[in-house]
Order: sequence, then structure tokens, then C-alpha cells
Amino acid sequence: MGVTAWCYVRHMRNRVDPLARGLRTRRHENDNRHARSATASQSAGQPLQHGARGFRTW
Amino acid sequence: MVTTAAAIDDSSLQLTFVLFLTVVVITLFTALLTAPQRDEISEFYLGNRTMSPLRNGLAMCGDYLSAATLLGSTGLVALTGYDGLMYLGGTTVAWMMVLLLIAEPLHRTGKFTLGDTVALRLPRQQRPVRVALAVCILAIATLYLVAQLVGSVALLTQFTGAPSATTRTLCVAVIGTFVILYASLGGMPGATVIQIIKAVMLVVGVLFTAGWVLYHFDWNPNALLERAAERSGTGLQFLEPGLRYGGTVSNKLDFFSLELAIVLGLAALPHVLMRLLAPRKSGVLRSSVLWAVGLVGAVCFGAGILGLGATALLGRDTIENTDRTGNASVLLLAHELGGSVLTALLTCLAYLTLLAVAVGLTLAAASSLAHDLYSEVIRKGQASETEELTVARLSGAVIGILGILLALVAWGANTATLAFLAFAIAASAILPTIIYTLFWRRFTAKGALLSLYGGLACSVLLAVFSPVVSSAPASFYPDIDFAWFPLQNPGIVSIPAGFLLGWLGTVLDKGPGEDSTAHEEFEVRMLVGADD
Repeated sequence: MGVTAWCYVRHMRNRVDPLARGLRTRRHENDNRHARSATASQSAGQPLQHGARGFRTW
Repeated sequence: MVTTAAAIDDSSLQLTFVLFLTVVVITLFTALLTAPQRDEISEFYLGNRTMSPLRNGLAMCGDYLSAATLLGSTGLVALTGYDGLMYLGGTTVAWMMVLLLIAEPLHRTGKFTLGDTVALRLPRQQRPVRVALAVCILAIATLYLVAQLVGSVALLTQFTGAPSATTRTLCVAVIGTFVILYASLGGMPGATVIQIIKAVMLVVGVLFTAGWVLYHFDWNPNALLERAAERSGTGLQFLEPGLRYGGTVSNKLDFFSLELAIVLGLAALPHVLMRLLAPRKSGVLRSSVLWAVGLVGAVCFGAGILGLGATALLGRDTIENTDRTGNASVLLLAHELGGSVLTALLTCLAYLTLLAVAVGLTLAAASSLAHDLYSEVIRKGQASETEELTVARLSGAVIGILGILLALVAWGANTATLAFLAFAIAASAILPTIIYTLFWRRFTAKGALLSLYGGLACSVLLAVFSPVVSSAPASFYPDIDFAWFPLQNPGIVSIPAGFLLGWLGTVLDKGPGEDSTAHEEFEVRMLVGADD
């Protein structure tokens, strides 16, 4: 069981965690980009664009 | 089920009361100090989300390990040797199932309860599914809670013999009141305090006593095993499989059914799932579950040595004559090794063990009632935090009182049977829903409803028509026989039935499915987690 647990932790740290971090970073960048473009179009008097699919937060 | 009194003197009982009340007063005071002071519902449901992995692991260990492990499992090892050790092994393996299968995905997609995870996955029809989840969680928590309260009476029986009605009522009412105070007033922070303290005492107490047993045999495990086999009355058969769960096909199936319920049921127990949602970061959760696996494994290892030691030092006949189920084996062993003091310490530990688990169960059921049923279904998400917190506290009190009343009615029941029936219901109703929600794209709300209600009904019906309720000497109605289902635990039938019903409900569902974006979002959320 110890070996199984060690293999699982190694798999998660080497393969899954970097992928999750990359996705999270990309999502934050997308959100920031859309927030900046929404602010810019608001200040120009344009209606708010809901172009991208945002993720619900809890 | 009445047992004769163990050969334990009154001074042990008095010392037990003093120790137990001392620990309860200190931990209850600490729980009230750390209780949620503001009307923040997150603090009530999840507690301190920045605890270290070791503390979280101790809390998980304390939340899970009940008196069934300390008393029941050691008793089973003392009476049946190898089969009892396999029983303990199942308990440890169950935590591996949690780690590998559901811990991190559930943590990343959850909020306060399992209902939140399912609602994220099935947003259009979340309300009926939340109702079904609340019903199943209430059934499991109540059954397991009654098992703990009944266990308190069974423990008292070891000292006093068959207790009077007044003594029974007092015992159950006092323990039940403490449970309500910890859960309703302390919330998750209060539950965490008692569970961590209990876990530390349990690990230290069990390993210390196990070490004492090995010291008695000059640290020679072979000597312990040989002596246990010699005094078991069955020779080397004691160390081979089959003494309890061998022989007939029915016996073997019963063992397999029980192990299936234990290994799969843990991953669906509501108080364990609640613990998985508590840490803020997934990395902390991962380390916490690893700690829990190690601590539970250590306690089960120690419990195995205690069981063997009891047989080796006292003889199987002495244990069986005192209590047919073997629950007295640890206390008899403690009396043999360390006299009144060690007996009182381990008895106090047993009471704390069942108190901590009962608190966790009450809190999990109260959270489900308040958050899933009241806030999300009845008030449609419009309830304020103050309102929800009030309902959660009241629900804790109501569930505690319900547990007390049912325990007074069912005080003679076998606590291990009740507890493992709760495992079977969890594995049959909730586990299929969790697995399909996390890993099956096509899963629908109808499938969830069918697996929840169907799994619950199947396991309860099979249990009603099993030797647990009628036909056997230890059943509720031993003089009547309507037990057409031959096994004590319905897991081997009800667990596959739960999975089948979930699949069937989904493939036969012709209605409009969930929006595909809901599942895509869920998959990303399962990997990435929520913003904190």
C-alpha cells in the first residue's frame, strides 16, 4: 500500500499538477484580458460584451 | 443482546468517569472557544481551512475510527484470529480507495457538501437530487449515530452487567447531549478539536498497549502467535483463514459482502466526505489523506496485536464467556496487563472514540439538511448566512435527539452490524452517484435519483429480510423468521444494484440532458479547482 501511495503521489506531482497549474494560469490570463477589454469598451461608451465563457466561482 | 459483566472492579469504572469527564470538559471548553463567532457559514461547515496536513490527517483518522475498530475488531481477532486480521486489513485498504479515486476530484469540485458537487455537474435538476442526497445522508448518519450511542451502553455493560432502564437512559442521554453540544455549538471547529485529541489518544493508547503485549512476549511476534493459537482452543486453525468466515458458501459470501461494504463504503460516508472538503488546497488534502492512511494503518496494526494478545494471555474461552461478540477482549487484556488504571484509560478512550465519531456524523447530517435541503431546495438559494447557520445548529440538535430516542429503543442491538449496514447503504446509494458524477460524461439527474433512492431501498430491504432482523439468536426478533436473504450484510447485492440503477436511469432517460458546457466546466473544475 505504501508503494501504491508513493506511485500515486509521484504521478500527481509530475504529470497532473503542472497541467492544472498551466490551465489555471491560462484561465486567469483569459479572465484578465476579458476584464480589461470590457473596461475599455465601457469607458468608450460601448455596451459590455460577454464574448468568452467564464467559469463560475464558488 | 445481554452480556455478563466482565471481571473488572468498580475502581476502574469510577476512574473511567473521572477521566472521561475531564477530557470532555477540557475539549468542550476548547470547542466553545474555537466555535464560529460570526455568522459565517463557511466556518461552521469547514472550520479552519489552513490546518496542516498532519492535523487534517489526525482529524480524518479521529472522524473515521469508531469503537467498532477498538472493541469490535480486536474482539473479532481475539475470537477468530486470521479472519479478524483480514477484517482490519479491509479498514486500511478502504482509505487507499479514497486517496486514489475520489479525494482530489471531489475536493476541487466541492464547496460545503456533496450536494454542491452534484449540483455543479447537474445544474438543471439539482434540487430533486439534493433532496435524495439529504435523505440518504440522513439515513446513513442516523444509523451510524445510533450504533455509536448503543455502543456506549454495551461498554457500560462490561462493568455493570445488564444495565437498568434508568442507567441506559442516563448513559445515552449524557453522551447524546455532549454530541449535540459539540456539533451544534462548536460546528466543524468543535468537531475537529475532539477528533484530533481522540486520534492522538487512540494512536498513543493502542500502540502503547500493543507494545506492552509484545514486551510481554520479549518482542517476539512468533511467540505471541504461537501462544494465541495454543490458547484459542483451535490450534493452528486460529492462524489460518476460515474460523469465522469459512466452511459454508454462505459464510464466505458474507465475509466478501462485508469487506466490499467496508472498502467501498468508506469513500461515501458523509462525515468522511465532509472532511475531504475542509482543506483549502488540494496539495494539503493529498498529504492529509496520506497521513490518515498511515495513522489508520498504525491503529489497525496495533488493534490486531491487542486481539492476538488478549487470546494469548486470557484464552479464547474466557473472552467468549464474558462477551459472545468479543467486545470485552480489550478491557480484559488491559486489566490483565495494567490493572484498573490501564482499563480505565482504554475505556475512557473507547467512550471518546464513539463520541468523536458521533459528533462528525451529526455535523455531516446537519450540514446536508441545512445547506442542501433548506438553503438550496426550500429557500432556492435565497437564505441568508444567519438563517442557514441557525437551521444547521437546530438540525444538529434534532438529529442528536433522534439518535438518542432510537438508541434507547435499539439498545440491545449489535453495534458492529448497525455500523456496517450504514457502510453498505453508503456504498450502494452514494458511491455510485459520486463515481458517475465525477467520471461519466453521460450521467443524468434521473440516473442519480435512481441510484440514490434505489440503492438505499435495496440495501434497507435486504437488511430487513436478513438474519440481522429475524431468525438468528442475535437478531432484533429472534423468535420470528422472515429472513429469506441469507447474508448479514447486503453489500454484495445492493452495491452492484446501486451502480446498475444509476446506469439504467441514465440510459433510459429520454429527456433533454444537461447543457454540454456544464460538463466541460465541471471537467476543468475537477482539474483546476476553484478560485480561493
